[in-house]
Amino acid sequence: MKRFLNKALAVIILITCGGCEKLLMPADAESSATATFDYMWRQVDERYALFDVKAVDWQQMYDSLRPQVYDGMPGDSLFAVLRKLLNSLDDGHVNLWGNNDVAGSETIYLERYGLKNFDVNTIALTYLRPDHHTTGGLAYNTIADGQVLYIRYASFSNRVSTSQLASVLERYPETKGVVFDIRQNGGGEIQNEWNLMAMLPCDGQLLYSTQMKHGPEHDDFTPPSNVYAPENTSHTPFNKRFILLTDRGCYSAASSFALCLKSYTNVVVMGDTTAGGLSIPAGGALPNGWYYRFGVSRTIAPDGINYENGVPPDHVVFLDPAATASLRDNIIDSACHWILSNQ
Amino acid sequence: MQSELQKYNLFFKLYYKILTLLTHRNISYGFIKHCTVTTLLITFFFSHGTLYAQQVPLGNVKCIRPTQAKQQEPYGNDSLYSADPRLWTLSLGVGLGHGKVRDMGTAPILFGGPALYHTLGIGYERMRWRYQSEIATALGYYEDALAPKLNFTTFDISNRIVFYAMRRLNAQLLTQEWLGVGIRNYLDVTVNTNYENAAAGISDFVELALLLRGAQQLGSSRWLLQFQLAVSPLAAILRPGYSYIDNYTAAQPVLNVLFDDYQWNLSPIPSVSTEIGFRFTLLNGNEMEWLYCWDYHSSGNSGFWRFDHAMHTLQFNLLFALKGGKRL
Repeated sequence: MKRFLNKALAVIILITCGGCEKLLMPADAESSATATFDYMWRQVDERYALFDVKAVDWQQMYDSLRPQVYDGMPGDSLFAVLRKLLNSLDDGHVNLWGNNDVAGSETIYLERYGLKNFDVNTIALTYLRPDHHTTGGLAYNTIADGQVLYIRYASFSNRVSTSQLASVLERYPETKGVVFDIRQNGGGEIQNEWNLMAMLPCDGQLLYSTQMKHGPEHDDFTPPSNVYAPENTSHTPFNKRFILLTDRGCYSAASSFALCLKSYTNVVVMGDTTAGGLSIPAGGALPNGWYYRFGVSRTIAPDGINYENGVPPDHVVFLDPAATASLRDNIIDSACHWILSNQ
Repeated sequence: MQSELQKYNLFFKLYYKILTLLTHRNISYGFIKHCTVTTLLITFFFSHGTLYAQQVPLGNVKCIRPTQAKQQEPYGNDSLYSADPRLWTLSLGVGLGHGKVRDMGTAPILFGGPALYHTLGIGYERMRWRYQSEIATALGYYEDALAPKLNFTTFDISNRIVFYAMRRLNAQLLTQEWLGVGIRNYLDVTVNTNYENAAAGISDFVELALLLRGAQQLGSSRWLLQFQLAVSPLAAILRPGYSYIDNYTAAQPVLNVLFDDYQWNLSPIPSVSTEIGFRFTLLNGNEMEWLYCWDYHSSGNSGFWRFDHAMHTLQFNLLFALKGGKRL
């Protein structure tokens, strides 16, 4: 028995200590152009969460683009084919990073700059003005003879805390409302969204529900997970009129913020429909080393609709070029009028 | 407890101040602290034995290890150990190694690189039975093994908690074989910041384990050749499924749904781990180990759910023979 055990152990130890994970661990996936294309297509097919709101026939995309791919094709050519494949999703959360290039949604790009409802010079010269203040990611000043507070938040990547917003609001106790401008805000960290919402009155309202992709079929999802308005016990909620300005440049966290704020009774969303992007993107690498990301969750509004392609405003107002020519922003002016006429 | 820690911290700060004043150099406080703790530990290791060393006449036998001392006894009424032989051991270990990881949830590419290893264990031996528990943590810094120029790096933090119950098969003086069963929990977190919200993936293996352990004394010296094989026949494994999100955005809703997509599956033979090395027994009963270890975990299955992690490490362990046994 002893001899047998010794021999058995010696053999086992020699084999396993010799790095035999090579025998157990499968080799890396093939990194050819065809394998890379197939891998990318399959990743999206089984994990992308938004086929139900995107007008794309994914199988048809495979059938039309796969013949263009062959092993040994130049990297730039393969990148162009993959870009075309992913671009068919019209999704700003879909990206591909190659060795020397990055691909993103062309539709989102065109809408952001082609349908811009915002003029930066007008904001800087007429509304923020040189004597504006900056706290965290917020730039602000009073407008309408000091009756309204205008706050510009350009990116959710710029950190802002609840205390910072509270200090800004407390600085102007006499104002009758706030115009909160997130036009051309491309998103960033969702946490900032929650920090801002914590200053608004919470009565346990449902903001949205989230479902994660949970299987290979296009409609395989986890049960909805409800998300409610955050409570704030350390600051007095801001109960006055709060006008949120949006446009087609609002994406991801900015869109999500607009969707959430529609559930607050003292908030009015004004401007243009956002560009959407309510899903949570996840990423990974392809067999050839390039990497990608796409949405793996879907967000359902309290009314049961998935606003992935854009959150509509409560009041549609487009920028008037004539107003812009005289350095006026008719959307902000409408917001001021709304605040002052609804007291 | 908190106040004691503060006291220790004050002591180290004072020590650091004195040392920097004496040397007029800006010495790293952490380095001094680390060196001091290590020095104290090694001093304690070599100076404090428990019960056996004093009992062994140096001129008679070169060394009798605690367990060997017990083996000499027939466990009869006249045995010194027969009343209630017990031995507690505390083991502390460090190691350097090389690891490989592939998480199909994020990439079909193997990542590899250096890894640091720490272990803390406690053992209890009584008659022919030995109970051993251990916590081991490894931190790996891995790069894409195929295309390191792309600068993909993955941090891999793995934590293993094991509990084994072993039965010695024989009572020979020079050779021992042990057979055991155990439960193990293996938790692995991989972090790759290039992967957007899929930056972190958590894998947890809850395993049933079978253990085979052997040791051979090298002649009549104080050296012991030992090896161990642990195979898990079955494990319940938790892995991300199709969404594979993490807390990259650090928001409340993301945390709420973080594990919604995770899936439990049963997998046969999910892990194999081996170790081979030498153990040297000091006269005070404490021991030192030099081990070469190989550890392999695989979730099995295929597709996005598959996860493989292998690690080779060279370990150095200190085994303290603790008090608590029957004194001779």
